[in-house]
Amino acid sequence: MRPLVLSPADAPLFAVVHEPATGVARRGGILLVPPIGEELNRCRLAIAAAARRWATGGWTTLVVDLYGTGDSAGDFGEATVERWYEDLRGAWRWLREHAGGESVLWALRGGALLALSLREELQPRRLVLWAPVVTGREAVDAVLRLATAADALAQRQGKPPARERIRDEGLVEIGGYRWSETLLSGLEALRHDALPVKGVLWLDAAGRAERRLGPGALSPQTVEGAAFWRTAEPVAAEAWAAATESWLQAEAP
Amino acid sequence: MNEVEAAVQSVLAEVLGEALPAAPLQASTPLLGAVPELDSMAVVNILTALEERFGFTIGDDEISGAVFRSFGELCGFVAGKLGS
Repeated sequence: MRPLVLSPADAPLFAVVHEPATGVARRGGILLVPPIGEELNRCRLAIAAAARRWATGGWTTLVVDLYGTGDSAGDFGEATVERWYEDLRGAWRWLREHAGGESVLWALRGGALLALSLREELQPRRLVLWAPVVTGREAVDAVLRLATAADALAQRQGKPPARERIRDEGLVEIGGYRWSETLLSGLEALRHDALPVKGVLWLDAAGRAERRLGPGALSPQTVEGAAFWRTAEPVAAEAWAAATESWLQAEAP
Repeated sequence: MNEVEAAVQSVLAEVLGEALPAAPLQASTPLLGAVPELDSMAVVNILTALEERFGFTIGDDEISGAVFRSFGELCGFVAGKLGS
């Protein structure tokens, strides 16, 4: 694993790349489209463990901190969906230049909203979705619910609902992140009803998956074990990484 | 332990992991204030996991600290949502 800084220089983008050891035949590159907000922190361990595993199979995985997240420049409160698309375009270019072979998009949770929006443009031959959030509504509701829960636990009553406060104030801190009206409404507008079928692997937690059959023909492959993105203590998602690896090692469509 | 209690316990175990008091939980087992990991993020994750497991929807006005005071109160809330 090595750290990288991707330009542009006015807002450096921090990334780490997990590469196959010298002598391992290179299969291709994988770009992570990360979860949004606090879920990213819960998923860090699972992401690193999966990337290390895939490196031994010949895959180069690029994990980039989008604008205003992790070690990258910028403030989360100033992040926008468009800015994140731009970051992902740059990361995709880097991966295609450096990894060789096939390039794959790998989206976790809310990252699926972004990955599915960019799919037409980036044209990955394969797309991997882990417990995807496919409507912006769901992503936004989760943020607002966090504000509601924080108010309920602190017994703060009579506060206007979080959505209203964000609309009025433009920026409200929820769970340690400054959520802006711009970012929330940008996410809210995203909706991916008909998931593509060809070249897509959708993994989801057993017990959750059957309630999430969306429109379209794609259905999830279920994985046993904890829903790793919501555990208080971060956990690796070995079964998820293994299922993805076998799918990747099969011939590309 | 009935089916609802077993399911609620398994959701708590998934989200809270080792922070949860040793199973089986009793109705009187305190949660909020007794389990430091049970913060607002954990509350949201538990509610979402319960929705996914049982197929009901929890409204904003139903979220309160009282629901999470003890294992028994949380199970009572879920049973109420299921109409049993």
